[in-house]
Amino acid sequence: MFFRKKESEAVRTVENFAQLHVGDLVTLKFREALPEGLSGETLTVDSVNAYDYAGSLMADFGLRHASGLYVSATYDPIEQTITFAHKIKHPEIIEIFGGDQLAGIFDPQSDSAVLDLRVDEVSEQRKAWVCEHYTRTLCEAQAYYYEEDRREKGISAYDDDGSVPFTYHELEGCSDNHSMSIEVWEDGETEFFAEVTVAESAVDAFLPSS
Amino acid sequence: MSILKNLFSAIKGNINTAGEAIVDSQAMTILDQEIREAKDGIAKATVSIRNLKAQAIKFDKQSLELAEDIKEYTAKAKGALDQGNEDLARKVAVKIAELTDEKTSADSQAQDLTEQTDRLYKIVKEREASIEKNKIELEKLKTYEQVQKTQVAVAAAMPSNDSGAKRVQRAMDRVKSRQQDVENKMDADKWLADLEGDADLDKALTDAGLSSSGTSADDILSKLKG
Repeated sequence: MFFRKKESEAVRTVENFAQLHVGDLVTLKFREALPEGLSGETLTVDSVNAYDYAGSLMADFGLRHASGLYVSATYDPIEQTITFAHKIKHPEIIEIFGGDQLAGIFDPQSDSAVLDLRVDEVSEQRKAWVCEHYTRTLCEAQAYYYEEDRREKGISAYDDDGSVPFTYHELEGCSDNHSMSIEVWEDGETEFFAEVTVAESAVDAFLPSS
Repeated sequence: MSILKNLFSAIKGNINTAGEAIVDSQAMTILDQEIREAKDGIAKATVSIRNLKAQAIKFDKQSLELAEDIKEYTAKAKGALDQGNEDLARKVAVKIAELTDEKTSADSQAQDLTEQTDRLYKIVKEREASIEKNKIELEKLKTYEQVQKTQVAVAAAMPSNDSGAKRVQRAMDRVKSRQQDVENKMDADKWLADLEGDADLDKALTDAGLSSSGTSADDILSKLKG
């Protein structure tokens, strides 16, 4: 008589943000620091792409809420923080900061490029994503973007690895957890992202897909 | 049902604190295995909870879409009424009623599923805390076992009541005795050396006519005459 030992099925567990895959769910705790649409909500991991910042790979998680809200998130394993980024469309960015200030941000000669928020122009939904004052901390830095999950493959040394080059600027907000990122692509398209950073402890649950 | 089954296997891992009782290594192996199975059960339960939550999200999304549809059809119904087209407005109102029923059903399903998943997730968290506690107890038991093994090994290496200890003691005594002999000999040699040194001195004094050692015949006669 032969006895076959039933092999236990390997079950994925997710211990931290860096281990998320497409299809996983992330539930966030109720936190004042988190904007509406994130605080106390569950998000689905929609995509995993990657940034190459000066040879350092950073996974970029696309998260979607049932309401349609789409944010991206990056994870800092050293600080154990998550930075959520929400895209601000051009009409809105001009409305809340003004064209003149924005022009100063792109001028590398400017020593103290700053952005002051026009508080009255900010919508209720946007308020939690921005703070009143930003200072540029990085100007015209170079990076690459992969529209795929590169966590297994890593960064390639070849030019034809599918990555797309872009230039970016970073701004630090007057509060501890606000920042902004501006990405300028080769075709001239410019994207503005309002960012909110929270500790990973703001995550209530990781629910992995099978 | 599979969620409950996985939770039950997680519950199996619950034990009482063993304290400093005599360690049974077989019991520890079994406990280790139970903790592993419990963790596996929790991992499977978490995936099942995720699937339920995904269903809840699907109903949430459906509800939001239906809300948008209802808003649009309501605007259309008002438009039809403004045009005086009551028949059309009535047909649109029927559609709005259907959508509203669908939305109510979606809301109810989403709420039920959310409540269930929240409840199950709370149970999972409690089990995880219990397993963590059991893991710590198991580590303590492993430490006690190691301490016991060490004590046995030390006792075997250092016998306290048999002839072995006595032999060691006798050997140490012999060494001590030899050491003492050496020291005594060194003292004697020194004494002799000193003695010889004094004899040289005495001779020198005698030669110089300054010796006070020894009694001369003249001294004795002087005393006798006294």
